[in-house]
Amino acid sequence: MNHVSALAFLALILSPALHAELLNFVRGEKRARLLGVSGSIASLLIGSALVTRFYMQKDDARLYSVLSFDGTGHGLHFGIDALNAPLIPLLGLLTFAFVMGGPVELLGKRELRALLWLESLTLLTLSTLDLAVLAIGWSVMLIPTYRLTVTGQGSHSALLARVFKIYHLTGVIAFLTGVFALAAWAHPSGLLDMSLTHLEVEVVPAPYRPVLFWLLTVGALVRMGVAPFHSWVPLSFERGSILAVTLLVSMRTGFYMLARLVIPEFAEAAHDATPVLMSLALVSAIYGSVCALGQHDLRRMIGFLVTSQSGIMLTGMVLGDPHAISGTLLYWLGFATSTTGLMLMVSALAARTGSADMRLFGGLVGRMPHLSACFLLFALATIAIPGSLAFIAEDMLVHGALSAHPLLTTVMIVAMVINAICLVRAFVVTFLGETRPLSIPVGALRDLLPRERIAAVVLLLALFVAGAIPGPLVASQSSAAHEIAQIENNPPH
Amino acid sequence: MPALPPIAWFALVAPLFPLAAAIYIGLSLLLWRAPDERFTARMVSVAFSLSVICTMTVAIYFITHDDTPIVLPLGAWFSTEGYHFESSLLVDRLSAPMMVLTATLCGLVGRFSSTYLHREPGQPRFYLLMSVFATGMFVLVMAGSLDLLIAGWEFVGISSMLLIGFFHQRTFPVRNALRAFVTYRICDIGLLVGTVLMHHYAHTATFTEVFGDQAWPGGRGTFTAGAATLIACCLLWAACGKSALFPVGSWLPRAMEGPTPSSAIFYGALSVHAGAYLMLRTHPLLDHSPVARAAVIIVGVLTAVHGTIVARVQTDVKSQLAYATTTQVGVIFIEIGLGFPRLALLHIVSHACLRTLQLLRAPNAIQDAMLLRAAAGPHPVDAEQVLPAANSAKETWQYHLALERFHLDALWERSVMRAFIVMAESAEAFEQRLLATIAGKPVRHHDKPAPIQTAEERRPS
Repeated sequence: MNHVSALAFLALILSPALHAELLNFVRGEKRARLLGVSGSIASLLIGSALVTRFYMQKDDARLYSVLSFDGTGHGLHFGIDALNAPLIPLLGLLTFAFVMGGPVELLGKRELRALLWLESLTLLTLSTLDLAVLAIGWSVMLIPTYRLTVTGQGSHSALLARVFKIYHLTGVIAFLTGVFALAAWAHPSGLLDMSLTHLEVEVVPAPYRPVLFWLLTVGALVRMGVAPFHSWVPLSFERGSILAVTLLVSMRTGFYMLARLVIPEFAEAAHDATPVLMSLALVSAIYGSVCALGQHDLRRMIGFLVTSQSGIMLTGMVLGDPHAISGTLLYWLGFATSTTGLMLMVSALAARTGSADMRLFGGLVGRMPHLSACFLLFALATIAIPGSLAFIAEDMLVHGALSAHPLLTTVMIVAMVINAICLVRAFVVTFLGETRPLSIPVGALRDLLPRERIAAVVLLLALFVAGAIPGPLVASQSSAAHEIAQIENNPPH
Repeated sequence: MPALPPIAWFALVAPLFPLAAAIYIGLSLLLWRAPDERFTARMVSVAFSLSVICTMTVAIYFITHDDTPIVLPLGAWFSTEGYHFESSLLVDRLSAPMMVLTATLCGLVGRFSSTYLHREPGQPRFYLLMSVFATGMFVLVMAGSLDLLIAGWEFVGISSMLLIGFFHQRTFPVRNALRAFVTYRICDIGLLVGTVLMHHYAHTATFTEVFGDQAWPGGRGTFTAGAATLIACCLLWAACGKSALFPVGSWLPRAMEGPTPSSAIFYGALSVHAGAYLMLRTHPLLDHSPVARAAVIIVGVLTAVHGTIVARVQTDVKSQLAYATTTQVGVIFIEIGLGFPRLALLHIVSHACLRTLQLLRAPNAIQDAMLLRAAAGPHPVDAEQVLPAANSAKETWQYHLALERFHLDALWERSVMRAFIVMAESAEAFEQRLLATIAGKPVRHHDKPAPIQTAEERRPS
């Protein structure tokens, strides 16, 4: 049975990559898109099957598989637990939405390949339990993202390429240095067995533990886009090809790294660093929301909202309250979905008009009623309207956070309010009001195509069904949240 | 879920009819196309009529039977170790009249709108938002806990904002919708924090557990003065936003840009009284806190005085009615603060009915007056009657103050809006400097939008 699971994990990870390579043999953009859709659906189905199996097993907190090289237990370790269980199907869902609903202008064959490779590497990062594989997957996923984000953006690509490289090289170098140091100290069995479950962090000399903690944390914070490591996020959204970067940002692999590796393994250092992390988180939450308020470009505005949301998530994570952490984990899922939906709508608008500058628009609801309605619904889902997943997440997050630290939580609530105002203002300015004359033919302003509508409706259904019936999701995340809270509150000395 | 008494089912299904109508219209608009105008109007009318029957039955039951509150436990919406989002509905002397009021006025306004919005392109959207509002209002007045009340409160706010901007092709309604939303959001912080504080101090936000299960308004609860003051002041701040109280009420006259039926139901009848309802539901807190009680009275007095003075210089009927509404809402808050909850409830119900009638009648009343004047022939207007001359500098000053609406708009724009804009501009400038440092050269500022390019121009070389 273990081999079957291991093969299923391999199929899950390799399926998108295989489809990406099959794209080389396909002619025509329509067929390429169909193949891309089938790749994302395949990974969604395999991921859902594995996650279902994890939830159905009653005796263990983790679905664990080893793909052994030599029959001794050494090999690749995969696992699904409460932390990554919802993320695996979510990634399949988001990739499906991008491939199905992404604009033709942004999704050529080359872009589809990069997107599917990115999915594969993200799945590898999410499902592996090996430190080396985790580090490799986490770092290498930047390659397809970079290729997709920075390519073909004309005069602005130089700045974007420079900023992207500076931030991510800093993050990856810091992270890999931390991982290598950790592996050298904490893995007595050598490189063949680097399972996270066998890590012995206490072997690391005490003075070096905070250093390793901060190296890994800086890597994670850069990936999350937390201030002051955030500038690549709005710039990539504004000037890059947004699909890959949205997938990278939505999945928040930096946050995953904190929850999977950094906080559990360096609990004491994390406990000591709480004031610094909390300050960074709150500054990020407020700074991102205030910056978003001053934006005219929809893509850049959403980029800053991502920074703000990352700050809010980090606040919830480091507070040490299980309800706040539970809320944070749900916040993660909700915002990944709604940010993806928002970016799909913005990219559809930008593909039709060549701009995402709100000042050029107004009154688009008359010409694009479905696009406007979907944008509004995604915006409402992001600002936590009752019935959406974000409502449950914010409720739990605020409850937990306020009981742990009332004053700081008020700052977080202010950030949430500004974020809501930003999004509704964006909707009002872009889609309502007097129609402004555009320099493109009226016929070019077509509404959502059926495939774009399907992608939007699937994401909306996921958001509102999970929000209306949140019980199973909350229950499934609860054990992960309590585990993290337990580690944060009682760090082993 | 324990077995419910038969009457409970009537209360339970009352909100489901408008909810079903909203889901049907919403899905039709999103997935297919706008449903037929006549069908939409009839479906919504039937939904509201069924709600009226259900709520009337509940109200009659309350009149003829004992008035012990009925709690309808719906179970935990979600729960995790140590925290449960308990959702229960509460039908008592306070919520039963509000349920009847909600169903009846929504039904009447829905019927009125079928003629008023005939051949209006946005008619299905109007009915969709009306149905969402009715559902939200039912949840708000029937909520058994502050947690669930927030859900209804949010639905009321969102539908209100979208209905103010109903005529989306015009600039001012849209701008005013955004203004109302910003006010709502800023004030809703109070409700959120108040709810969490209630959980913190009482370990629950379920009304019957916090205040006891005596018939309304007999609850008491056990709070220290400090806790009660803190929670009540948070809730008062939330009520200020929704009920357009001083000093954040300047959005209300602007909200009248929406269609007349929605102005009537939202800003004459139901939504504007949601804040008062919140204070009535949690009024035992005021018994523990003289400070909060004084705050409620002061806010009520300031709102009433401001409303009545400004109403006197308004030249259009809807603005005058809007300020008349704020005056009455101010008086209702004074009654709540003075400890007359029953009187306040009676005032809410009667004021809602009267104001709905006035607002629905307003457009025709002007037309009728003009017709009468035309029939009576030329009629010289005495300027002194319309605009009496000011007798003193003090009166002139008062007159200016009323015309400028006590400068509240300017104050709001200079303090809140300006502060936000300055912060946002400073943050963006800092961001540009940061990027310039990284890039080693100045980064292009986006003072003006880049020109739109054709598809060919956008294609990468």
